[in-house]
Amino acid sequence: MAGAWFDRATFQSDALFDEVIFQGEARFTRATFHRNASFLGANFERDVGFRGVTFQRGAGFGEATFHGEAEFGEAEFQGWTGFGSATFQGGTVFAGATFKGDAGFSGATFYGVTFFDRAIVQRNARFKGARFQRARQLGPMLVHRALILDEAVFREHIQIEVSAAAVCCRQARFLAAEASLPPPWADAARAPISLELYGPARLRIGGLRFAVSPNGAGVPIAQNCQGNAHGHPEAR
Amino acid sequence: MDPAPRQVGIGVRLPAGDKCWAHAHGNDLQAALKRLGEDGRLDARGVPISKDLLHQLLAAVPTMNTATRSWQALGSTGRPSRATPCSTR
Repeated sequence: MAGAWFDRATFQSDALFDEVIFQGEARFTRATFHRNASFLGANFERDVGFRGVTFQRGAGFGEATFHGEAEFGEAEFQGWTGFGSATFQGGTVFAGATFKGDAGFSGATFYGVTFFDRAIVQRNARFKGARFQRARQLGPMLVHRALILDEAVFREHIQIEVSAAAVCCRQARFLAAEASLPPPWADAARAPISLELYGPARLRIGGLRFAVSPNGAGVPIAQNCQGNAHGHPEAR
Repeated sequence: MDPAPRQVGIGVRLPAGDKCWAHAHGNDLQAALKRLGEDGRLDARGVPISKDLLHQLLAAVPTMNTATRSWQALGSTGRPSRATPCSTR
């Protein structure tokens, strides 16, 4: 297997890899991007390693496709980060990653397991419309501002362990029977929450438990959180 | 008088010569770019990559039918060769 190896390389100017197809292994372990890194629409056909990478400016992976394992463990995103509409076919590792700006995963699809444990997002973690096909756990991670799960879809039993200032789940769908969102430090009493659970479901938010009737395909439980469903905590 | 001390960079040496991508010139660089164009394998571990160098590398990578650049999977070892650091003066 051949490919591209940029371990410990330093990119001194904008690194534009838009729509590049990496047919072999692509490795950027501990590389440093001093300026913007753009992988928009890039196609990684094998495993890709960005472990310990430092992105000093923006990191754009919008509409990128990762066919193998996508390893971003311990990576440091110092600027804006965009994985919008990216497709992760294999496992996704962001364990220990640090996002100093927003972490943007809106519209992304995760077909494999996801590892966001120990990840820290210093602004908002955006997963609007994201699809988690096999993930059973999200976190534990720390989000300094809002965890945005609006319109996200979770196909499996999912345990979300996120400490966040707020949680938004408007029209989020949990298709498996049980979901758990125990953000230890989140103020569930203030977080606007709108959820739709399909099938018999149990949901836990900040220690509060909600039960949905067994016949409740598509039962919205927004009424359970009605007192909280105003405003949007998303911080800009 | 002793010659200036030889500096050693961390960039992996190209197959020809004792320099990495960032410090190679002339025939060594051209040979490496030609080889990259043929096999699509790029070993730039530890290399400081400037805008011009990245442009050269991407331009050399073979294209597919879609005219999209591609780092091709060729060869059988699956790994880059053992790294020998670049020597720069």
